[in-house]
Amino acid sequence: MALFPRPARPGRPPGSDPDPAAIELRGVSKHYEAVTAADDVSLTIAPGALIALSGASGSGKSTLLHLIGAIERPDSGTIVSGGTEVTALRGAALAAYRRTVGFVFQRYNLLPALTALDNVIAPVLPYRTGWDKPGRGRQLLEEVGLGGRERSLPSRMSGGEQQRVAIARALINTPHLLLADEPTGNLDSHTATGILDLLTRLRRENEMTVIIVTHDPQIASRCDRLIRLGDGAVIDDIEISGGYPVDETIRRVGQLG
Amino acid sequence: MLAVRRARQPSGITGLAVVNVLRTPGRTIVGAVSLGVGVTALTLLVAVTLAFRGAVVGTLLGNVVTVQVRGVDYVAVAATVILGVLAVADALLISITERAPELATLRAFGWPEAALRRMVITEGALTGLTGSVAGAALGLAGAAIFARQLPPPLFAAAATTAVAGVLVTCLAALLPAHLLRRLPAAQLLAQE
Repeated sequence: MALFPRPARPGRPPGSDPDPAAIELRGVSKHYEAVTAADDVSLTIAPGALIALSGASGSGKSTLLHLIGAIERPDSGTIVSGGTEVTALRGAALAAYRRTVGFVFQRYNLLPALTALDNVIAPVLPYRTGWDKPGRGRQLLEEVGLGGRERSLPSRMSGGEQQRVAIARALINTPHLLLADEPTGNLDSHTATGILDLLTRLRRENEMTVIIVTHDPQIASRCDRLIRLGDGAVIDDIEISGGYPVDETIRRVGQLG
Repeated sequence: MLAVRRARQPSGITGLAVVNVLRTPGRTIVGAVSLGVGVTALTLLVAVTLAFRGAVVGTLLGNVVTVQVRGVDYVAVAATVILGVLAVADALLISITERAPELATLRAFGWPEAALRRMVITEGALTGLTGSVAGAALGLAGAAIFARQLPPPLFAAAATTAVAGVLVTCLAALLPAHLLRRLPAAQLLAQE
């Protein structure tokens, strides 16, 4: 159970959860000049799901994540999250939606001049939150196993530690949705397993929907559902939690990974 | 490259702006000095015009010297101030370019455009404040040493030029702040 109140979704009254559907993409397309990054993608992602997004390099995984997180706008189609049409949001409402989403990046994207604690609370610096920001930051660092490292600069931390700081930062707003773009891509297998264990635990405790972009078949096999992309289109959509064979999941991810 | 050696704790947008200004001290000093030179000259000019009615007699290395302000002096000083302001704006542009992935990250986490703009303008204002206050103080000191007196209008002139320096720098910072909108956030954050 989350200890801190979630930011209300824009356009929806507080306390209106659970949502009928966490995320719905309807005919979403995105092009970068001649490259098709998303090709008429239609998906429905249930609340609380753990999704693996896989595909070859350039298949549109990151683009899809950015579209769902409202970092990028589609050329056509609509994205609805928790009953809010994300693609129609502008200005303050768009920023408010982004605060309901947590991002974890492959290269961590920590602010190098800030300590671990300051990095964690950086997303909420412009706001009055009604709760103790450093206190919440410390608690999150504790949760990701970095208690006592509050004053450490990113340059003094290992890759795994930096990624843990990035995960804590992604949780500062108690997001409804966590988007992780190859969060273990720069880590050794042991650290990667630890990061995935952490993400799955936090997802369960915080009742979040989690979408992970991954090339790693082992990580994909631990998710509820595997969505494979090719040239911006969905080419595979498999419910793993329904008893789909792990070996087959690994084989399928391995085809393109 | 000057590295950050000590962590500083920001408490809000202004705090983060302070951290950003201090993390590249060399660039901040160059911007502040560029502006400071212009503000020093402007303070001297305004001081001579207001406090000494356009002409001041003093001594320099034992010689009696008369300084008289002409229109062309104002043009030259205005050009110097403008160059100083442009130096600050240029430093901000470089800083934004270098920190583009960080700014894209903050935007992805829900920082409104207005908050990002405010941070960049505050960074410009801090550099402008440093250069303007130092420049005005130097101009004031120069006028006092040269004329061997400090009439009250001199202080008002110095304060006015310092404030003007900060305001013009804030105006110049609007351009880099405006360019934040064009940051290709998705490309900066993508790792494919």
